[in-house]
Amino acid sequence: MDRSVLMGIAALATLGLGANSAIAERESRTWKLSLESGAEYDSNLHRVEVLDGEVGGVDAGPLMRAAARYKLSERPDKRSQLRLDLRGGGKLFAVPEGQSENLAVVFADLNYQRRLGTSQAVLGVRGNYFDAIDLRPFGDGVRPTSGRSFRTSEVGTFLTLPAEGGHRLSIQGGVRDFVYKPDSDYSWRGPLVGLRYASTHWLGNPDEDEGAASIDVRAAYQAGLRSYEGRAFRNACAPGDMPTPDCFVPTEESRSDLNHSLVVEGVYTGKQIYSLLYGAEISDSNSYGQAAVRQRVEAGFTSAVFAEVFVTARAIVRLNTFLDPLLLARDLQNQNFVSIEDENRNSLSLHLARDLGRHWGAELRLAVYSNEFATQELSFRRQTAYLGLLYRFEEDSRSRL
Amino acid sequence: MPAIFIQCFAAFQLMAAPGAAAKPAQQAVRVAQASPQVSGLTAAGRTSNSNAARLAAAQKRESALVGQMAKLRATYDTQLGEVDKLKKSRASWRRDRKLSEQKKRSQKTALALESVDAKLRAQRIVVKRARLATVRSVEAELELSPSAARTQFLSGVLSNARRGLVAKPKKISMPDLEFDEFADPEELLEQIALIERAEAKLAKEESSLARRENHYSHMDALRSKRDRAEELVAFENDNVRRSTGRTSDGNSRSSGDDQASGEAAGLNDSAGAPPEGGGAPGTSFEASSVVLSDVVDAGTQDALRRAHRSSSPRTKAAAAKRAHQQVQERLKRLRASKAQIQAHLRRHSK
Repeated sequence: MDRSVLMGIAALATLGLGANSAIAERESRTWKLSLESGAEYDSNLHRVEVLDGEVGGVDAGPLMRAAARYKLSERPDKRSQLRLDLRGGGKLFAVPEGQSENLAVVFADLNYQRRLGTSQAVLGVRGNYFDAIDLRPFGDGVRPTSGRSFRTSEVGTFLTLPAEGGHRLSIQGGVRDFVYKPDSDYSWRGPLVGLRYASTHWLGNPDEDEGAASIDVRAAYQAGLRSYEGRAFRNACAPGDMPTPDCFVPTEESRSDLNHSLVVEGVYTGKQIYSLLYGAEISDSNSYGQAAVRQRVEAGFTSAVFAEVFVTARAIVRLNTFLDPLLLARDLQNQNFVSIEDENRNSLSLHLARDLGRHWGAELRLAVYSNEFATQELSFRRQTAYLGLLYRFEEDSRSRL
Repeated sequence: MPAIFIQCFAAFQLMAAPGAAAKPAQQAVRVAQASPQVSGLTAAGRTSNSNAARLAAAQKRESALVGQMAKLRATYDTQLGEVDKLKKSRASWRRDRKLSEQKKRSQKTALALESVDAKLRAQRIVVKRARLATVRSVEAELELSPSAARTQFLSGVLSNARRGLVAKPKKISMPDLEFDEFADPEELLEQIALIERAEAKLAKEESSLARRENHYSHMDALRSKRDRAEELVAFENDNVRRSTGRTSDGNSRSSGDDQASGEAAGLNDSAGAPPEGGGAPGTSFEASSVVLSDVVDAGTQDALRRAHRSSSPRTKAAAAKRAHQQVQERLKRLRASKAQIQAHLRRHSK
């Protein structure tokens, strides 16, 4: 599936770019290249949880990061637009304990959209691909883990219906594929449909009022069917019994989940930016122990503080509710991640950025992760500090007109 | 929908207006005891309130007509669709009869549509007059320095009344800058007057462009820094990837870039644009493209028009900056030309 998606994206890109090149008079083309690199310190590089009060088994170490991004936006004509977003990057730990955590990431997103007839409605197709690849250039190092690499891809189509007053409604449908590399039982694929609404409201007239601000509201709902490669489990124990590993009995049936996700967000942009987001996900599974409701609330703030430094603070609180009993592994050192999805915790991050001229920028990111408001038995703490440089280059063909 | 809000707002303001809901008996006592200035204010206040009420009523009627028009148009479209469908179907007596009936129905709807359209046009004139009357009376009352609460109320009424009263922008005509040293002093003085007139208008536009450039640049800087902070997190793989995730959700989250602003970005540039008609003449990007058509080049005019449609602060800031630079250059030339003529006149007078 992933190869076909990649090929699909590549074919679409070739087709789109080829078609565009054939058109002598392009409406416009904008492209942007950014390169970034920096050093980071991670206080819990394996992202492990420990029994409350314990500190052993948590490895820390410095690492280097580097990434590149290329974005292209082109209008072959007034009615259509092609967008391509390519990213690649990686991180390498400088300590032996972190060698199994070295990771490379590749991301590609292609989007083509076209206005329908004389209406404002826009029909588009899109495809994206994300691959997190385990890197082992210096071997497995000390205390290796099985890694957390995965691959996900999606192809789909969407129809956007704009309305007067800045309202936009999008209907989307597609197919998504997820491959969890350490354990294929958790890989899945399936169709998805979604509905998305976005609008912008202005407080005051920004053309004449210095205090004018905008409020962006967006809401999105998505439902997707996920057919897993692994088997579905059933509960072999009597209701009310203490769950043990013996309770989980595999069936002949494949695991199948119906996933609903909802996101509502409001962003106020004035002298500062304030944002609030609520997200909820409901996984209804035919496999015992897999049904869950995951909720998150995000609050963000961005402001210019001093000497042209911009600060973005972000707090995320997650609340995961598992609808079936969960097993807790006693041997934490050998505990594997069963899913990339469950490792996320509450976090508080601070991002400081300052432009150093037209193309260069420096940034500092401090983040604290914790599992407050979650399980009482296990404790998760992680702090990261990143300091890096960013180089950007942008070209807009319209500016030369 | 917005018209309904406006009416509700106006109605609410009328109810909540300080002094508007005062009992007649109490009002009479107050007038009798009031100083000339206060009595003037009360009379002006009554006029303002009555004009605002008239405007609200006219807007309500306009809104009803718009609704009626939309319904009729939808019916008409459906009927035309039916006619087309019948025309494409197999010919028969039955089809012809149905076609004839359908045509009659659509003609009837067309007539009704025409009639409502005429009423709507007339009503729009009424609304415009009511707006003008309200603006005049409120401005007159504001000159009498009413109380803070009343001033606040009047500002709301004024803002509502001014909406839709935006005059068509006129381009700034550039005077002849050629210096003719053999011209009569009277002619040169006239040329200076023309230059000064253009200079004043350009200076006003320049300050407006500078303000817009600052405003949107700041907005863009904030958004791009926020997007960057999110991008760093998303790429680091610290986020949930159960759904398509933030990385592929750039459409709706990222707003710093023109190509990524809003759903169906680019093709839907007008989405999220500031409310039209909310500003004074000449302050919107579209108006600037007209006002400065003799001042800026064709590419900049296009950039200004695009900025008007766009919801991206970056596009707006870039257009404002580009136009601002060209206006500054033109102002320099105007001033240099004026200085040259003035120097010549001084020499001539000596």
